Amino acid sequence: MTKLVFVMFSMLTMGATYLTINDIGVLEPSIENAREGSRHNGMRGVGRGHYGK
Amino acid sequence: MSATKLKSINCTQCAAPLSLRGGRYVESINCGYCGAVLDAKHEYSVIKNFVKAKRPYLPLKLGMSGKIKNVEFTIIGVIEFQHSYDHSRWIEYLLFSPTHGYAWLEHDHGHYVFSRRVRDLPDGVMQQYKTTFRARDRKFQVYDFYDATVTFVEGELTWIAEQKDKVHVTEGIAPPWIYTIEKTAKEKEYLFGEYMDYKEIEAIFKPDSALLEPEGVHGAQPYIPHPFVAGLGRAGLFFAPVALLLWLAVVFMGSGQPVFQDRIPADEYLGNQQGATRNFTITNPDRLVELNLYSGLSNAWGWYDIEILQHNEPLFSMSQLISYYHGREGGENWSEGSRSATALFRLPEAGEYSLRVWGEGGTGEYDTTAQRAELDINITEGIIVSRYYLFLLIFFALMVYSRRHFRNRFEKQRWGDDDDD
Repeated sequence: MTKLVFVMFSMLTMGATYLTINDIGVLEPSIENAREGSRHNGMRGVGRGHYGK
Repeated sequence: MSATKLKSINCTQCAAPLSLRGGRYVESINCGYCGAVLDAKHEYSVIKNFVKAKRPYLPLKLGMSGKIKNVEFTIIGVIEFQHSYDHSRWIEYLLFSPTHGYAWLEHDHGHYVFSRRVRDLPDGVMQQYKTTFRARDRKFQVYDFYDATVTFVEGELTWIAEQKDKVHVTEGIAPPWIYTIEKTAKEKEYLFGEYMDYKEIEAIFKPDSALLEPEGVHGAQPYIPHPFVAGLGRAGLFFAPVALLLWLAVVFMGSGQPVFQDRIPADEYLGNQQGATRNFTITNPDRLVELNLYSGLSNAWGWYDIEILQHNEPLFSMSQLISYYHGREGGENWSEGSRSATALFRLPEAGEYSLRVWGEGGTGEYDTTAQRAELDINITEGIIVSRYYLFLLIFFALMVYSRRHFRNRFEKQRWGDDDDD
């Protein structure tokens, strides 16, 4: 059983290494092609019950 | 095959056949058919009767033999006790070996304890729950005090049992060992026992039907983790330091080098069609670039549109929100949001780039007048994220902790309380 867990943990470590080396899942999600413009759409969710325009 | 010589007699009260295997120290034979107690020293005359004694479930039978600790023992007698306080019952089998004498095998809700009479007295006073004492070169912890009553006997015993005989029991444990003092009106006995797995007992005595699995946790039961839990703990002990080293290495090597730092006045990025533009240089395009914004907003929000340009041509854009609210409510300070925002992105090649930023914002619930706070911009290249190794480290550390958790849970069950680790 310990061998099985060692194999599982080795795979987890390799997976974490793969994600780290390839910068997977860390890039800024709001990035868009410049021609599409920013995500500015006039709605802002802010503060404790505070809302912008 | 038993090593004991088998003799048999007929019960002098009911004529039922009774086997004799117990050696010369046997004092009484208890007929399981009629309840008669026969005097082994006086022609098996009837001394008394155990009346209305309900026969308990006996997973092991009289006459069964097997090797315990490399000594051949035969079950010659059975005695059932009842706890005076919680009325639970358990069985004690009297074992006999022609070469090693008498021993006891306790059966309590599927748990088995093999014990023998000893002459070693404890070196401390066993008067308080959980206090420690030493006996037979081991450190024991006082586990229980209780009175028990004899409710059933069968077979041969080395004394003449009385129905409702009372015994005061004091137990100390050092799992798998147990040290017991049994005090009756006539004598005091010291017993040293060892917990035995029911599968081991099954292999030794080979009963007709499989023994029932133990219920709960016995006082002397050693903690043996499930193989998977043990594997998790062992592997965690190896992998947690590995993950820690990897995480530290990434934190050390992946924190990056600053390539740009500036504080932009509010006039430059608020309400300005052109926005505020700054240049920066990237030398390591293989790794991530981190943009960090900070604004000292107070009970306000700011929305920042950011464009990254190369050779004055826009590459991409993004938006970042900074919102920070705080106050005091119900006598307590509160705060929400953050005064900073971070974005990670990748640039295609080494060289000069520009950053252009516009801003807008508001205060309170509806006011869209931006708070005129300066905006700090920091750009760092050569970033390697450490979050995955951090998750891994936390996970492996939890696996190591799980060993302790399961052990603690077992100990709580052993002691029947919730305040012990």
